[in-house]
Amino acid sequence: MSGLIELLKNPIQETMSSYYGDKRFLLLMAVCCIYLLLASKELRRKLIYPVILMAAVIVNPILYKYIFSKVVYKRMFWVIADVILIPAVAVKLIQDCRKKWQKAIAFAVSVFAIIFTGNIVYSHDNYVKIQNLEKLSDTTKGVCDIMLQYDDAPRCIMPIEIAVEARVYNGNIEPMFGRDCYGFIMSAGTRERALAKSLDGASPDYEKIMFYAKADERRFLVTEDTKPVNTALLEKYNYRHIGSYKQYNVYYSAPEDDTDMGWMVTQLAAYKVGNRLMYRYVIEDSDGHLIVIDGGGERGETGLIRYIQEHDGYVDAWIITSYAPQSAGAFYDLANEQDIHINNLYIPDFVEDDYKAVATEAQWSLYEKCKSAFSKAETVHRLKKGDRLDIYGLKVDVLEDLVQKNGEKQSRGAMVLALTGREQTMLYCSVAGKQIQSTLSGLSTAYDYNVKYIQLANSGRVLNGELYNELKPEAVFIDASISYMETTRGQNAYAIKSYLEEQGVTVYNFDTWPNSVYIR
Amino acid sequence: MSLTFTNIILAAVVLGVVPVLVGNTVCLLCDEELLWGKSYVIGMMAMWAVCQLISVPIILAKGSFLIVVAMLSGIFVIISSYGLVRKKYPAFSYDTQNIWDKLGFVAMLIFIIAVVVLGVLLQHTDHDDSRFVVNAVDICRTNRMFLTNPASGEMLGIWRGELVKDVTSPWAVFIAWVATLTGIHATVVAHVILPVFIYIMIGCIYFILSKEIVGDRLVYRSMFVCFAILVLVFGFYSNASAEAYTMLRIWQGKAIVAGAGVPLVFLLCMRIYRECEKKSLYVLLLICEMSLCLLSGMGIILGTVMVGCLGLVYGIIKRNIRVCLGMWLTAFPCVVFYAVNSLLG
Repeated sequence: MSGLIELLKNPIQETMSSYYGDKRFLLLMAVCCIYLLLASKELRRKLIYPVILMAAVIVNPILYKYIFSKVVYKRMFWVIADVILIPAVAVKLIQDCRKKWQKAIAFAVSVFAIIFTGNIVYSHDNYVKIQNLEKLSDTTKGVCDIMLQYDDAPRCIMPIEIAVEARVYNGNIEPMFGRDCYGFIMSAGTRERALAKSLDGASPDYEKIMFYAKADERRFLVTEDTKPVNTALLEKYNYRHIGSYKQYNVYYSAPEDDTDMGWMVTQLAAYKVGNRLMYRYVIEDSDGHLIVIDGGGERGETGLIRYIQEHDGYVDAWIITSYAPQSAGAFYDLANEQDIHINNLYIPDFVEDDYKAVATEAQWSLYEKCKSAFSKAETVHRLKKGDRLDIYGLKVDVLEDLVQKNGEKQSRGAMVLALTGREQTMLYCSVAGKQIQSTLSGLSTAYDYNVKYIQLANSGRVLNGELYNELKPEAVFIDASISYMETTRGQNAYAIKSYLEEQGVTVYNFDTWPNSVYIR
Repeated sequence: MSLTFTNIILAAVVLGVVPVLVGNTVCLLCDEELLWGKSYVIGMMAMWAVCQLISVPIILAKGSFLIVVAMLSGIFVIISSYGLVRKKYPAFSYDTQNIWDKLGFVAMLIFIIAVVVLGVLLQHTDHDDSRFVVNAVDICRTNRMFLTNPASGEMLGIWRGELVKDVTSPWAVFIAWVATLTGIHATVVAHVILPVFIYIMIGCIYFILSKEIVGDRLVYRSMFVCFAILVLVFGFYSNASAEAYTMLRIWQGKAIVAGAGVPLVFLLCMRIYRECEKKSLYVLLLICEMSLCLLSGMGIILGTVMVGCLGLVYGIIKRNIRVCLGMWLTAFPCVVFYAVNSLLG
């Protein structure tokens, strides 16, 4: 019973309040109902009784609970039919007056009552003079016309404000997302929603937007003047400016400009983690697969969760290279606490006793905890040195594993991976330090790797001058912030960073953004 | 996009002449007085009901829109021909001898024309069109009904999300049908052409309804319509009001339910109240309920609630259970389509 009373208060009463606005019109209707109830027997029977019954049905909490809550409830009030009630009373008043001057006064009073209690619909902000035959905003039409000059059926990414009208103008236009992207008409993919949110946000992540635009063959990109796109990014993705209309710019990438972007690797720890250590990388391909490497060590960091949610909660592959808390801590937390689905989990293969002998207490403790979460993955693969995998086209070679090093203990040992696309390779050194230099030496000649990128942990010590000259990477990732590198804890990371930059190498770290590269 | 003279003539035929002819036939069959306004309203209502009856099974069978176009056009030609063959046509039979009656009638026409003209010359950008109008655009483009995502144009092949509601209330099919026959883009049909005819229809409904409320005198009937228009124009007390829907986005099915459907149900029920023994009135109410199903899911619910309440009250007042049951039975299409929708969704 109390539940039904609650329903009467909210949402029934609230909906009624919002439906009738300032309630002047509701008052007028109530007066009209009372008048007809008293003044006309016929209209009382024909009109007022049914209206009263309908009102009682609509505000009935039981019917609301089982039927009306399933529809847009405020529209139920349409049956109260004020457009019949009020004119009926107005004319009845006039009819009931015997003298002409009385009729004139009744007429004037009725007109005044309607005008005074109501608001004129033509005052609606969004009700404007016709702009074109389709009755759409000129801006939408202008932007769409620019695209239609280049393509009869333009596939595009555009701000929602334009996208909601684009297909009303021309059904051949195919925006990646429209009004439905937040689930109003039908639920769009999480990635589409994320891109829509980004594009409509204050500072869109154009890197990501263009990556997916390319991957999804969206040849047109519409952006707002106030959110300019970096020219280097446009060049990188071969988008060129083809026109502007009012506050919108239209960019186009012709089919002949298509390039295979390969796999996008993102150092996620660059999401402002300050001086904390973190090993968290994600790899995405153009088919929407998500590969997580390590995952970082702390819960509550939005970066990785957001990525996984953008992929509808699916992680196609998760590779744990080390049980250092900065690497695998997030796996344990997310696998246990978040609604995520891991298809393939790749973990180091070792004899537990051997590992226990070399692991730190924190590593062993985390390993023990992670073991309980392994069952969250559909398939668990154990990796050891020399293994070669094909993860959705990306070749992954295990160059080094956890405990093997001539029988010597490696307290901070880890799996070292070579991630190879069609032509290029990224070396992922995990938390490993300079002890793996010998592993990497001679690598490019032995395996024919075209090493483009190297991940260097927090100290950067893996890469000495000799190794640099041998591998010649274009960019390296150091998993630390500048301030960390400058401290003694960073050992000589800052010097290494400076040295590499002098050589023309791009050094990504926690203070640079966006930290994404492509393995082609 | 442009609008040629031929397009306009075709639109006038499809949305002006054909409804009158169809209404003429229905009025003849239902033994109703043949009047222009009444024929137009009943004709339009009957066309929507036929559209609902024809299109929903074809939509459920995922059939081609062209089948709907062929069947609807054929049926309307056959129905229209009946009245022509019988050589019975609507008349204009109002007493305009009194100067006040004349003035009132002219004022009413001016009010209706003003609403129509403002409806054409003003535009309201409504985000709901990204579903309702785009559905019609996509139907014309693909000849498939409700199988594309209106937001992206992607072919879905199944009914998803809000589109499930459109399967049982396929108002977009009617817009697409008009667009196909007239050669006018579906958006222009919805935003420019349709409002003209719907506003005229609403004017006619209130004029016919006025007889049930204020009697036969033309001046009072005209005054009733003028006041109704005044309420529609000044009834913008919230964005959700029936008046706001009627005046701002009349091309959408739910707005037609608010603007035309609700008064039409009142009109037919009041006729039943007056002539409860006339069975053809129940048939007209049945047709009306069917047409509400085409317009919107709201039409299904509101049609049922209204007929349920009006039937109960009139049955009690008349002390005649047959009136009550007869009126309730007219909601049968609403119940069926609600059930189909529930099964789908």
